Amino acid sequence: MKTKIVLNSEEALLEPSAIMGNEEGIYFTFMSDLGVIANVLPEPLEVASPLVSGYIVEIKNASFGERYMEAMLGVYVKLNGKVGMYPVTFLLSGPGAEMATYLGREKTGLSKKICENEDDISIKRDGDVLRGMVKRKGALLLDVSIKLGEYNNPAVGDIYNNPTAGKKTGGTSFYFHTVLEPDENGKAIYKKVNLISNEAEYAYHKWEPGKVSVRLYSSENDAWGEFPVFENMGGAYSVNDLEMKDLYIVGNPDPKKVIPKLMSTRFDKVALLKGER
Amino acid sequence: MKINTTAKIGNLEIKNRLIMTAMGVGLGNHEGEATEDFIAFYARRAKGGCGLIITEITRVCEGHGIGEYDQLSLSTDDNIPSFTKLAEEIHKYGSKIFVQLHHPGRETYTQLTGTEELVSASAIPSVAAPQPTRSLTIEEIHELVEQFGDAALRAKKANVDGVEIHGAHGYLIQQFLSANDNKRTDEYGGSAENRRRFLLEIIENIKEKCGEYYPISVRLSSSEFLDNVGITSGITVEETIETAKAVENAGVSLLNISAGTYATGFTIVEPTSYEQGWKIPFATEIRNNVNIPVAATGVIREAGFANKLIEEDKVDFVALGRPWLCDPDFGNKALSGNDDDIRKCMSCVYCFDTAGESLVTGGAHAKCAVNPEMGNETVYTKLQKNGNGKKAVVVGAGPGGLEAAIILAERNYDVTIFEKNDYLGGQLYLASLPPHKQKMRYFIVYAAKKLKDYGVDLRLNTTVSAEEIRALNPYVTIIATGSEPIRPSKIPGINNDNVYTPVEILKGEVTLANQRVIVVGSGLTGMETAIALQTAGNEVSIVEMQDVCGSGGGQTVIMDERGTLAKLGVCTMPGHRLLEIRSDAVIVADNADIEVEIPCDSVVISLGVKSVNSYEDLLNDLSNVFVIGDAKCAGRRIGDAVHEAYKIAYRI
Repeated sequence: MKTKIVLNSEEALLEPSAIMGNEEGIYFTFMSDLGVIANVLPEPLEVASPLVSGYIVEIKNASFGERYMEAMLGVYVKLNGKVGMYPVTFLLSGPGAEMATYLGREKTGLSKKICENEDDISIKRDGDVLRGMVKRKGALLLDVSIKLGEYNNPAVGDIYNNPTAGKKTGGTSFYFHTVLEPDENGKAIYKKVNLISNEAEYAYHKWEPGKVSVRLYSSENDAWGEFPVFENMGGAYSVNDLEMKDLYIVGNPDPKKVIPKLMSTRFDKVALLKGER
Repeated sequence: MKINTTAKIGNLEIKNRLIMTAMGVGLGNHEGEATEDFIAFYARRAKGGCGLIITEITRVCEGHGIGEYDQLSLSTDDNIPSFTKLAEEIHKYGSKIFVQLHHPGRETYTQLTGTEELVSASAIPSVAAPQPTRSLTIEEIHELVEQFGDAALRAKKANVDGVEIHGAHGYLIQQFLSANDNKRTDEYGGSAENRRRFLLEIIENIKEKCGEYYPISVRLSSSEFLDNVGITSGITVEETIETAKAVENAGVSLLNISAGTYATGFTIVEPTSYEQGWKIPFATEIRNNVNIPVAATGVIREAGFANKLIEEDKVDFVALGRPWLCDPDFGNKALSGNDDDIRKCMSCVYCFDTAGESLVTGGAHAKCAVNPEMGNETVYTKLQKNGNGKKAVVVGAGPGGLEAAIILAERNYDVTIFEKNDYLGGQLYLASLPPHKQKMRYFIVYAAKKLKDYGVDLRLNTTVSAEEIRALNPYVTIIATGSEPIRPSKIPGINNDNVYTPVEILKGEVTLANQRVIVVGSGLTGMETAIALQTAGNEVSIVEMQDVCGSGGGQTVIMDERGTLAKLGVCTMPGHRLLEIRSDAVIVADNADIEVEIPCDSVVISLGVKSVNSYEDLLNDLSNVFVIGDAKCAGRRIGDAVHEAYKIAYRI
C-alpha cells in the first residue's frame, strides 16, 4: 500500500503505547566507581549506588516498529528521595532501530545512537553460555558473556527485584528530553531540557540467572569503557515484555549544565564543534 | 609536653589532652553488656595514660537501632550494672569515660535488626550495603529522641562521666544532617535548620533528663567529602560550622570532629595513603567559630605531632582511635616524650576488617595487626620473663620474625635473627615502597629499635644453613622465611623476556614507560603496581581471575585503591584467568571459558605468593621448631604472621 505525505490529524499521532514485547537477551550488572558514575550524571540526578547495569537484547515485538537489537548501560540514581535508573547510553541495530531511535530521542529523551550493521549488536548462544557483543563503526564497545546457573554475587538478585517467570516488576527511570532551537543569531542551541520520570513494568517469561564476565571498551565516538569493572555481580538470560508507562516532566534543569553530559551519547565526534567557534 | 596539661569539658576536668575515640571492637555480647573483656580492654588504655575514653557505638533502642551483633547497649536499664563496673575501672586510673550513643539508620543489616526494612531520614538505601530502607515517621523520630535521652540517663546512673552523640560517619543523625540523604519535606528536612532539628532535640532531651551540667559531646563529620566521588550535595565544612554553632547554643560541652560518610569510608578509617593530621585544618576552622573545646582525629600517629597540635592551638584535645589499639601505652609514652617506643599504627585497617568479619554474626573481635594483645587483655595477662638466656633462633625478619624476636627477647631469651636481605620487614618493606605507603614502615622502625634495646643479635645479608642453626643449639627455632612470588610454570610464555614481577617494578629494577602493560592479579600488590605503572605513562589493564578486583586487602584500602585506578583510567577485567603470554598479547579465559586476546607489550605477574620454607625438614631433630607466617601458609596478612609469632613466643 502506498503512503502519502500529508496525514490527517488522527493519522499524525504517534503510537501512544511503548511496549517492547518479547524482549530477549542478556542482562548484566557490575560494580563500578561512584566518582565515575557521579561524573556522568546530569543535574539534578544524584548517584545512589556504585553499580552499573546493562543489557543486550533483541526486541522482537515492539509496539512502535519492527524488530531491533538494543544495548544499554545504566546507573542507579536518586531524585528527591526516589531511587531509579538513569540509562546513560543506548546503541541500536536492525530494521526497527531507526524508528526506535527517533522515538526514543524525540519522544522520551533517551540517549540513543544507531549502529550501521545489524550484526554490530549480537547475541550468540552455545548451550548454557551466551555471549553478547556490541560494535560500532568497527570498534568493539561491549563484550559480555554469561554462563547460566548462579549469579557471581547473590546480592544482585535484589537489584533486579528477584525476577522469575510469570512475575512482574516495576521501576522508575529518568531521562533528559532536550529542546533544540535557533537562537537570535540563527544558530541552533539547546534552550530547554525536560527531566522526565517514567515508570516501567517488566513482565517476565524467563529469567535464568548466570555468572557474567563484562568487558567494556571505548572508541572515538562511544566511551563505553569509561566505567571500570571492579566486580562482576551477575546477570541473566531473560525473555520479557517491557512496558513504558506515561512520561512526566519532573524538572527543567539548566541546559548549560546538562547538555555536556548528554552530547557524546547522542552525537558522534564529527557532529561536535571542531576548532574555535 | 602540652598534651600533658589538664583541660575541661564543661565542668569535667580531663587529666591530659588525649582522647580515645569510639571504635567498634566486638568484645561484648548480644545483650550489649559491658563484659569483662570490654572492661579489660578499656581499662588497659586508661592505665596506659588515656585522658578520656569514649566507648564504642552504644545502641539506644533495639530492632532498627542495632548496629553490630556484639555492640554495647543502653536501650534498657539491664546493663546499668555492667556499665557502672566499667566506669569504676576507668576511674581507678584517673581517666574519664563517655558512652557514645548511636543509631545506625540505614548503615546496618536486616539480619541484625530483625526488621524487614532499615530506617533513615528518607527511603534511600545505603550506597555501601544497600538494604530495603524506609523513612522514619514523625512519631518514630519523637520516640528516638526520647530513647537517646533515656540511654544518656542510664549512662549517668552508671557513673559514666558524659555521653557522646554520634552525629558523624553517615549514621542516622548524619543521614538527617546531610542534604544528600535527607529528602524529607516536613520539619525534619529541607533547610539546614530543619535537618539539624533531630540532633538538637536529642541534645535538649538529654539535658532535660541528665541535667544542665552533664557533659555532652557531639561527634560530627567536618565534611562528607562526597565531592571526592562526584556528589555535590554532601555536608561541607561551612555547613558543619553552622551545626557546631547550633549545638554549642544547645549546651553541648565538646565537639569531636571527624569526617566522612559511608560512601567515603576511606575518609573515616583512612588507609595508609592519608597524611598524618590531614583532617585537622577542618576541625581548626570549626573551632575558630565556637567557644567550646574541640577534639579532632585524623591519622595522628606520632606523639610529637599530637603535642604540636595543642602547642599551636589547633585543637583542644587530640582524638586518637587506632593508635590506642596498636599501643595501649600510647598515652604514657607520649606524655613522657618516648615517641620512639610507641608501636605506631600503620593504617593497614586490619582492625577494621577483622571487626567487620563478625559484625553480623558475633563471636569474634577486632584485632590489631601489630598488637596481638589488643582485645585479648583477659587472655594474655602476663608475659613470663623466664627465658633465662636460653638460645632462640629466628630465621627471617619479616613482620612475624620480628615480632617473635621481640617477644622472645623480652622474655629474656638470647635471640639471634637471620635475614637474607639487607633490610628488615620482608614483604612489609616492599609494601611500603609505593608512593604514600611509607607509614607501613612504622612497625619496621619500631621493631628495629626494640631489637637494639634488647640486644638481639641481628644478622642481615645472611642465609643461614640448617647446620649453622643446629650449631647454635637453640631451645626454640622460629622459621619465618616468608614467601616468594608465584610464577606458574604451566602458563606458556611465563618466562618470556617481557614478563616481570611487582617487586622488580616497585623496587625500580625494571622501568616501563609508554607501553601497554597487563598486570595479572589484583591483590593490593597488583593494584599498587598498576597504579605505579599507569602513573609512569603506561596504558595498564588488570586481569583478575576472581570476580572482584581487589580482594584480600583492607576494605577502605581497596576503596581507596579502586578510586585511584578509576581516576587514572586503568582498565580492570575481573573474572578472567591467564592462559598464555605472547610477545604482543596475553590470552585469557572468562567465567564462561571464552578466550579473549588482549594486546600488550609487557606483563607483570602478581599472582600472589607461595611459602618458602627449606628448613623445617632439615631441623626435625630439634625440639621447639615452629613455622609461622607466610612460610606456614602463604598469602595472608601482616596481622596473621604477627599474631602467630606472638602466640608461640608468649607460650613457649
